[in-house]
Amino acid sequence: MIELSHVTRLYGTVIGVNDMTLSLPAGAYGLLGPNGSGKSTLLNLLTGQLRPTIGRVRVFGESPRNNAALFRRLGYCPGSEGLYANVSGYEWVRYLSQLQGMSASAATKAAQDSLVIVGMKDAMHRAISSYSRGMRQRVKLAQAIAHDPDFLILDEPFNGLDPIGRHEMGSLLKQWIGQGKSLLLASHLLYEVESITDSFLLISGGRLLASGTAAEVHALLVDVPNEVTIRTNDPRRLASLLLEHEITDSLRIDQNQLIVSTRHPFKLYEQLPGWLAEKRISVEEMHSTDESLQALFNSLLKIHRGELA
Amino acid sequence: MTPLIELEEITKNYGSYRALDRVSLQIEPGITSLLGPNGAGKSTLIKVLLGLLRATSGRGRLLEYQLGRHNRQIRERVGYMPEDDCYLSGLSGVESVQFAAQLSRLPGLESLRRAHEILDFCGMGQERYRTVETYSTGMRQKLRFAQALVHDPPLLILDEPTSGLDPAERETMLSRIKILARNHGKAILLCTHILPDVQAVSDAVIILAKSRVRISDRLDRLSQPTAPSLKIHVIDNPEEFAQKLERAGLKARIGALGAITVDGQHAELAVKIWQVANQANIGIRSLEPSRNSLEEIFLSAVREQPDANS
Amino acid sequence: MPIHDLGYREWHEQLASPWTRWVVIAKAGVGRAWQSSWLKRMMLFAWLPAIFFGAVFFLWEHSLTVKEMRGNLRFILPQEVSTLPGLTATLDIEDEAVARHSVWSWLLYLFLRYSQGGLMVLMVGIIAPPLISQDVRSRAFLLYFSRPLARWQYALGKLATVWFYLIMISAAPALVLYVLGVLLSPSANVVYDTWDLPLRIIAASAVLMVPTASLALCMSSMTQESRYAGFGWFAVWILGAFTYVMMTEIEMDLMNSASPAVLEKWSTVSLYHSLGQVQSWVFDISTFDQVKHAAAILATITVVSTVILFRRISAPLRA
Repeated sequence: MIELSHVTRLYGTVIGVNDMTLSLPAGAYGLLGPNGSGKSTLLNLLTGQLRPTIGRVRVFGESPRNNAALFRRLGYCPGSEGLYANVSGYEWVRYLSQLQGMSASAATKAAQDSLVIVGMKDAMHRAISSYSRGMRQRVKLAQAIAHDPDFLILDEPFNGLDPIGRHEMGSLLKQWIGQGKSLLLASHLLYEVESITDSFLLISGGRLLASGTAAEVHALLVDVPNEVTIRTNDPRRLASLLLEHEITDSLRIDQNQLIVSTRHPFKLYEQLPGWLAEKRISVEEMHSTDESLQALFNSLLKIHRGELA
Repeated sequence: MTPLIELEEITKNYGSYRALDRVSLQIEPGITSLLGPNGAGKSTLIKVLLGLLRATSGRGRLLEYQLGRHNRQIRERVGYMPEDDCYLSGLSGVESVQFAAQLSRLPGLESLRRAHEILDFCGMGQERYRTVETYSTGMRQKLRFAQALVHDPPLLILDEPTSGLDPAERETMLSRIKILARNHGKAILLCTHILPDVQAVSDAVIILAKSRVRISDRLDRLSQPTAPSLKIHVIDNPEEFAQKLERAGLKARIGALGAITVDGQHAELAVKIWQVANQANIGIRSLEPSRNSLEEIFLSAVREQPDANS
Repeated sequence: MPIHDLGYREWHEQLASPWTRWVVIAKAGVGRAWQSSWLKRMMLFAWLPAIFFGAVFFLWEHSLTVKEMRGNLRFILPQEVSTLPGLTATLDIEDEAVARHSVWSWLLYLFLRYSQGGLMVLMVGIIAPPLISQDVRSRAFLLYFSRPLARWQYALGKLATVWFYLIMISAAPALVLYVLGVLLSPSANVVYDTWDLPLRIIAASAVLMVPTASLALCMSSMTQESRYAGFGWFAVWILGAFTYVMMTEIEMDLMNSASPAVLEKWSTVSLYHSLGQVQSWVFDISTFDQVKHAAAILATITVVSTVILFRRISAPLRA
């Protein structure tokens, strides 16, 4: 669906995207990275608003630059404003749908349908200036899906939403994915993306660091130590047990918690039930702080900066 | 411990619109998160606390000072970090913090010395000598945080302190907030939409919706499910494990992302679970007590029907 | 002890007075304004007329001892000034003490009204417009008023910033001129004869400072763009002076005489001339009756500007 081939984009001396090569089949992806990491540049390259300085961008096999036919298959939901204050949500979506190339009557119906889907049935004829933040985000989403595209691109859609707004936007996007459509969601906050999809792309400084699901990436990071916290009634005996079995080379005890650093977390998980039964040690709680996407990304960024061998 | 802040039946009307409806709450030292949908009255509440707005009715106090009568003394003891990007143009970072300190009655030279000290704590290096207009979003946020902290107030009101920050910066900001609360006994009122932050640092949670307090309680109490249960993640094959648990006489059900929830008291349950795992040769990735998710708590609190009096 | 000062430290020292926080704001404003190289040049330029007037003081004092110089004095001053009704009479007074008082009053009046008055318009136009409009634009009110700072302190601090620079170009050089005159004077009774002049200088400076600073800051508080405030400021002066000149020329043409009543009537339109009128009363050159309209205008402007200023400061907080 998306193909980038050694794409670099420079703004004068400022780097936007740096030698990015990427090939994504249809599906739902989270585009994650810190502020200023090149997410907006990448999205602009995909929607054809920017041209790569070096390299080639292909969406659905074609260059998105000035490609009206391709635009009909793409829906773009921008992050920053860009809404007109005085018109109603309905008028705005209808106008943009007509710009997409729809006839007046088709645009009318499309606007109405999409606004109902995003839950703006009652408010669609009020002026946009009266809308709350969440409602404006929903109008932008309606505009993006009105022409029933195959691929939806969203730039920080949760920005400024309260938890209710976030939850509702999340459900809408999950519905979208449920219909079998594709989606690329750019955000700098992991937990926003985690609930929608588990395939992600991590970028930093305009470079693609990793892509895939958390499990896939984890499996590749063999030598990165994981920290597992175990709450048990007998931490010292458990500690000696783990050392004996050479599952860990460093651990510490904090009251009744044993915090174990291991390079073989899965071996630990598989063997632990047997060892506990053998030595009659009971464990009340166990979890790995590194399981989270956040911790994974921290490790990846450290490796990227040369802080971790 | 007597609460640092007590509000009783605070109401604020703008003409016919009621922005705050008989809000009563208590805030103790530690971290209290203030949550609520946009327009629920959070910013009005903060302005009433700071004395920028006068409550239509109700009483309140911060330490021994009365709301509405001792506004100056209250503001001396509150550090406010606004959400909006606000700054004093033309000043450098350290000059801005010094100016803020002086407005809070720190004497001249002491204010400069203290400004440097606070900027050290906030992780700002040589960039403190550059003008604020050259700062990135993250640096401006650090600066606002420093300005709120420079006069060592016992109460800090932080409005979205981590929004717009990168994950690493978010963690350090939360870490600083924790240090101030745990090691220095400050009361911190944290207003944010970012639920994972609330989960990570809060001692207490207040949820405001449609101008009224819906929930005001300690987080650990709120997180307790009504019936205790354990949540398990296995390496693979959650359905097989769930079946084995059922056969061992435990009540197990599978939830989102393959999480298995088993009802019962934690201690005896854990022993049985490990036994089953051993016999079935299934590895366990994590085992922890179930907690109510903050998102669920929030959504159910906000969707409550208002009672007949409102 | 190996660990000395690690991490966050609490602060429990002695606080400064709560009533002088406006001084902090004024100092910050003064320092900020001084960063402008234009302002530094202006300050230098603003003291040049003082040199000229100092020379005139010297010449007049000298002429008391050297009688022949008296007549020549008239030719030094510019045409329009030396034909002012009161001035010619003054230069003819015989009694030295009375003459000194009169001549000095006139010189100080001319200095403050004409040369420093014009410079004042420029200087305030440089300093004042950004003072509040920048705070509005950068949303700094949240930072100010979440602290123990009352609105009056904020307003006073900003006003004091403008007053400081105005004093530097009006009262300060005028007082220096007075001291110079005292030092140059051959008479032993000079201070006894002219003790009221320093007070009048201060009063005239106050007349120059107060309505103008209030008006300028009022404009600054009404917009986020300091250039609109600056534009508005200069427009008020230029339009007023222009109207005054036009209307007085027309009327005096029609009546074929130079009547002070006409001048006084039209001075209410022009701020510059209103200020001049009231200053002439301060220096006892006109009676209050003659300047009451101008005084009323200035008072109204001061009050209205201050009220608007206060309202503009409070508004963003209630939002």
